[in-house]
Amino acid sequence: MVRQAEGGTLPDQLSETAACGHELVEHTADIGIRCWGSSVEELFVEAARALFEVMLGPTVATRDEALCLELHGYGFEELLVAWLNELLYRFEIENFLPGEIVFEQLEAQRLRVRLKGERYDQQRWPIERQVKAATYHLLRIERPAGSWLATIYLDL
Amino acid sequence: MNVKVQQIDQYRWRIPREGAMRSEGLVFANGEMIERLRQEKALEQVANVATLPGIVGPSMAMPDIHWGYGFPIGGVAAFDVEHGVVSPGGVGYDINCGVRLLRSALSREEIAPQLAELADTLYRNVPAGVGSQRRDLRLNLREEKQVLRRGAAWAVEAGFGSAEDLEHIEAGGVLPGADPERISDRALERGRAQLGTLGSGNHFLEIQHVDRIFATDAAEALGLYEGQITVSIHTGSRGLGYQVCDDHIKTMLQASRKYGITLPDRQLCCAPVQSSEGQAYLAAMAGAANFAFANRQLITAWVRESFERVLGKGPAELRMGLIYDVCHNIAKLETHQFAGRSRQLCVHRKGATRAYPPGHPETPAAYRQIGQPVLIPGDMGRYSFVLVGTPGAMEETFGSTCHGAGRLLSRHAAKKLVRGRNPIAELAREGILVRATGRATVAEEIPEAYKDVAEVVEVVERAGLGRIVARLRPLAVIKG
Repeated sequence: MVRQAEGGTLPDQLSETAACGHELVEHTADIGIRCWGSSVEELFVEAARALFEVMLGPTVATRDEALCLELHGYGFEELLVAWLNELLYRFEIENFLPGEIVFEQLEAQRLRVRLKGERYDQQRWPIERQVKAATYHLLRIERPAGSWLATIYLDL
Repeated sequence: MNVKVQQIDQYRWRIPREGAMRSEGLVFANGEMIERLRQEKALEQVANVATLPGIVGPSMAMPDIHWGYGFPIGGVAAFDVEHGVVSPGGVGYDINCGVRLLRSALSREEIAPQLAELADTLYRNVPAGVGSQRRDLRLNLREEKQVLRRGAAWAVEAGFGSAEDLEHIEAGGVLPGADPERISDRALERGRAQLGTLGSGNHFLEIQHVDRIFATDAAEALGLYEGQITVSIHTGSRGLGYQVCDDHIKTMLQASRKYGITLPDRQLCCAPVQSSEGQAYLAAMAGAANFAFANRQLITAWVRESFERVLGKGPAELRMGLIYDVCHNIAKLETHQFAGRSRQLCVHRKGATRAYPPGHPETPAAYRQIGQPVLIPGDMGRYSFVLVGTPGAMEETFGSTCHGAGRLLSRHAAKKLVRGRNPIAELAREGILVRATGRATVAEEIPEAYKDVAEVVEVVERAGLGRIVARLRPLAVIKG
C-alpha cells in the first residue's frame, strides 16, 4: 500500500490494530518508507524490513549466518539512517540478507544488534530495484500516542 | 510551506526572498511545468537552498526540476569560496553521475540485422546487475587509489581507450585535488567491487540513431549527421560515491552544528568551503568523481569491443570517437563574472549540466567555435538531445543547464499505469530493444513516467541556456 507523503499523519493501521508495520510513501523520483512500532526497537526492525522490501519485495530469510553490529549516532533519527545504510553496505559487500534482528542495546547515541540471516542469492530473491542510500531528507521520528513513527526517503 | 512564485517572463519564475532565505529563487520553466511543481516539494527545496550561507546569486532550478532529497533535482547553486559553504547533499550520493556520447561511422540500416546481437553482447559485456563485475578487472588498493587520483587517464593508460578520449571529457576526465586518504576503507571496498559497472535505476547504456539535426554548423563540428548510430552511457561513481556522500554527510551534520548553520532540512548539511570538513569533502568528492570518469571510460572500451566483435569491423572502420562526457552531480570550484567582478565560486550542480559557451578555454579545441557539448538523455521510448552551451548560460546560471527529462510520475504511479501491460513488448513494437536486470526497473522507467524532454530543452533554448543541435532516438536500451 502506498500513501501520499504528508508528515505527521498517523497511518490508519497504527490507530487500529497493528502495533508495528511499514508502508511505502510516494516520492516523484525516489521512494519513501514509513515505519512504526510500539518501541524504538520495533521501529528500527520495521525500517530494515521496509528497506529490503523496496529492494527485493517481501523476503523471509533463513538464519544461517550471524552478524553483530555496533553503531554510534547523534540521536535516534541519525542513528536510524546510519542503521539502514549499514545494512545496505552489508548487503552489497557481504551479501548479507537479514532475517532476524535482535537489539541488545538501542539508545539515542548507540546501538548494538545481533542479526541472523542468509547469504543473498539472486535466484531466490530476484532484485526489484537497487537503493543507493537512505537519506536525511525530512527525517523526523514522531511519537504519536506513545508509539514510534518515522518516514525515511531512499535514494534510488 | 507554501512557496510564493512570481512570473518574471515566459520561462522565468522568481521565488521572492522570505524568512531565512539569503537570496531569491529562480526557476526556469513554462507555465504548465510550474503548475505541476506546485503539487510537490521541489519549489520549497529551491527556497531551502537559498538559506545556506554564502550563496551567490539566486538558488536556481533548471526546467527538469523535480522533488529531490535536500536540493531539488535540476538545482544549481553557487557559493563564495571564501565565505560560503559546500554541501554533500548538493551533489548527491551518485557523485559525478554523468553521460557520455560516442559517435560512429555506422548507419541505422547497416546495424539493423545485428541489433539484437549487439544488445545481447553489450548486456553481457557491461556488468549491470547486483554483484556483477568483469572477471578481467580486479583492482588492488594501490591501483584503486590511482583511479581516484587520475580518473579517466588511469583507464586510458591501462589500455581502455585513447588519449584523444581524454580531450573530450569535462575537466579532461580528472578533477584536481583528489585525495584517496579522505575516502574511507568502506568506500574503497565498495569501489573495488564496482568499478566498470553500470548500476541500476535510471542508469543505462543506449544504442541510438540521429534522427534530426537542428543546427548544422554545430552538428558538423561534433561529427553528427542524420541516420548515424551513436551510443550513450549514463552512470556514475557507484557504491564508492554513495559511501563517500554518506560518510561526509555524517561529518557535515556535526560541522553544521559546530559552525552554527541552521538547516531547513538535514540533508542540506554543509560546512564552509575553507573549513577542514569542507576541504576533506571536496578532496573525497574529487576522488569519487574521478572514479566515475574512469567507470565511464572502461564501459566505453567494452562498448567499442562489443561493436567490433559483433560487426566484425576494426576501430578505424567504426570510428567510435567520444563526442563528450558531462557530469551532472558535482560541485566544482570555478571562476565566474558576477555583478561586474570575477568571483571564485563553488558551483553545485545537482541534476544539472555545465554548459560553457563558445570560446571558453575549457571547451575542447574542436568545439571552441560552437560551445561545450551538453548531453540530455530523455526517457527510453522517445528521444535524447545534444545541445551546446551559450553565453546566456554563462551570464545567468554560472554556465549551467538542464540534465534530463525529469520524472513526472512516482514509481508507484508508473507501475500502476503499466499494470496488465508489457512495456518491453510495447517498446519492441516501436523498434526499441530493451535488456534489463531489475524486475521493477522497466515498469518504473516507462516513457510516460518522464516529462517530454523535448519540452525541457525547448524551455532551455528559449531561455537562452543552450542551443539544440541534434535529436537521438533509442534503438536498444541496456538497463541494470
